[in-house]
Amino acid sequence: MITLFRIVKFGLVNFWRNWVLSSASVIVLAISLLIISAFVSFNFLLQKAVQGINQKVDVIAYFEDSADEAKILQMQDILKNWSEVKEANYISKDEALQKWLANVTDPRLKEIVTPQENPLPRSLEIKVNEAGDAQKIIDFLGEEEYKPLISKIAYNKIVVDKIVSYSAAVKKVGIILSSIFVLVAIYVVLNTIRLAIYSRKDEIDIMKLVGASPGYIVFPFVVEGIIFGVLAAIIAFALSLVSLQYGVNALLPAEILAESKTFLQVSTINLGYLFLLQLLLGMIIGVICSIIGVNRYLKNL
Amino acid sequence: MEKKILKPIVRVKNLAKTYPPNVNALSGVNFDLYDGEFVCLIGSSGAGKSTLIKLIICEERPTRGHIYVAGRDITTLRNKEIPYYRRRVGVVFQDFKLLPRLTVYENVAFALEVADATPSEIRKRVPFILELVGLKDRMKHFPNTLSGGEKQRTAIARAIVNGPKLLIADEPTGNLDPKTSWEIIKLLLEINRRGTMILLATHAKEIVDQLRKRVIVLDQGQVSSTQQKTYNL
Repeated sequence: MITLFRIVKFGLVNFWRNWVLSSASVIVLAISLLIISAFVSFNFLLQKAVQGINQKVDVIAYFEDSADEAKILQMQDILKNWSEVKEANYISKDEALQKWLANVTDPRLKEIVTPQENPLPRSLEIKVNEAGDAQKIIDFLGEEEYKPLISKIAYNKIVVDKIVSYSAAVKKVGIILSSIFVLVAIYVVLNTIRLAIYSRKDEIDIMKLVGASPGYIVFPFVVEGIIFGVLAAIIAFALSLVSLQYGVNALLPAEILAESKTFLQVSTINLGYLFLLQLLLGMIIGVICSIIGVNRYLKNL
Repeated sequence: MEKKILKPIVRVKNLAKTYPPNVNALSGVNFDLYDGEFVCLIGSSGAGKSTLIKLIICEERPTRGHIYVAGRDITTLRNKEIPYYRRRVGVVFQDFKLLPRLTVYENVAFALEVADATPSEIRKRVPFILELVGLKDRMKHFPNTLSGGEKQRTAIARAIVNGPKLLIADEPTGNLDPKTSWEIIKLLLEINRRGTMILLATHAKEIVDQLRKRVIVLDQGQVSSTQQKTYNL
């Protein structure tokens, strides 16, 4: 207990009385955390956007006027139970008319369609979770049992195929780029902390000569690593908030923002997690780098 | 002489150290140091003084031979045991080796802290030792604000605060002017008078001459003379 107290005190004293190098380490670590969180957030956003676009893919089946309503509702029930299907909405003739009237402005066009004389077909609007699942719906609609009921299937194959291949590529590139930047950031932090410890290798030797055990030498550096991590996380979080507030909304294309609401809305829910991630990552990186940095000077007698 | 009744605290046996490829820093060194003695270790640069001291404080391992301290062969100490051994042997260096970010008080207290002393022991012991070395009014100073003599007094205070039987001083006056040097030597004599054995490595001829203590002479890695009392360089 008394030893723990001494180690913590010694770590704090060293951090404080060595503030130039300490703040250098904290700043570098904060910048790295910021880069890491930027990439994590970017990936998160990207996936939200891809997900949003994926879910926008509709397959619409239009039915012959002669088709049995019960049969159509049966199809709707089947599709609703599929895990691939997000929603399957039945549009009756009346609903189709409402939609038509809402979308058309020209009064002459409005006159053409009346409740009594309604050429608009009934339809099933099917939304899928992943664009790649659309083909399964098409196959289902093409089965012998249902084919005669359907007059037309609306679905853009080329767009769907592109979305499928893009979202896979975007995910891959995002993960690769993030990993590279994270590794570079950690490497820079490691070297900064190592340099800071290198400048104190004489002190480490002195501690050994006075009879300090390796633990007594290492743990104050671990304490310093934790302080580095906590301070860096606070700085990185503050900077993240500022950049989220002013930067991202202006940078991102409106469609993506609309897709995943606004970035801030998405992230407000996750700000706590972001800070937790930064705190945890900061402390882990700080402590590991400190241990690696100090360990090489402990090998000599 | 009273020395005959005393048992040796330090017994160096056939000690040899060879640095790669084939530099023989020490070859077959033998001597004994007795309880309460004040011994001067002299020799020109490269004679092996520093190597000998490094071996005694376990900073390096010998190629051959043994060093017994209080009966224990310290050349076979496991790495884990070395810190405990060092807490029982005080060392003072030419370059002071103070922790720059700790005050005088904290530097001395550090040696007690690593030895798991209680806070109340530390609060009693540190001021007492600092009083003994004459630094009571410098307790809150950092090393870079001290004179050379004050730094060395701090280092000596740190070396003796754990109450070691043996104090090793490696050129403690090497960076000091003659007047300050004598003050340090007087302090070492006072510590010796209180019962701590002192091994003083130096090449300051006038100090060795005036001290009139036993002298061990190292020459080319061997003890060329170990004699009582006066010695002419």
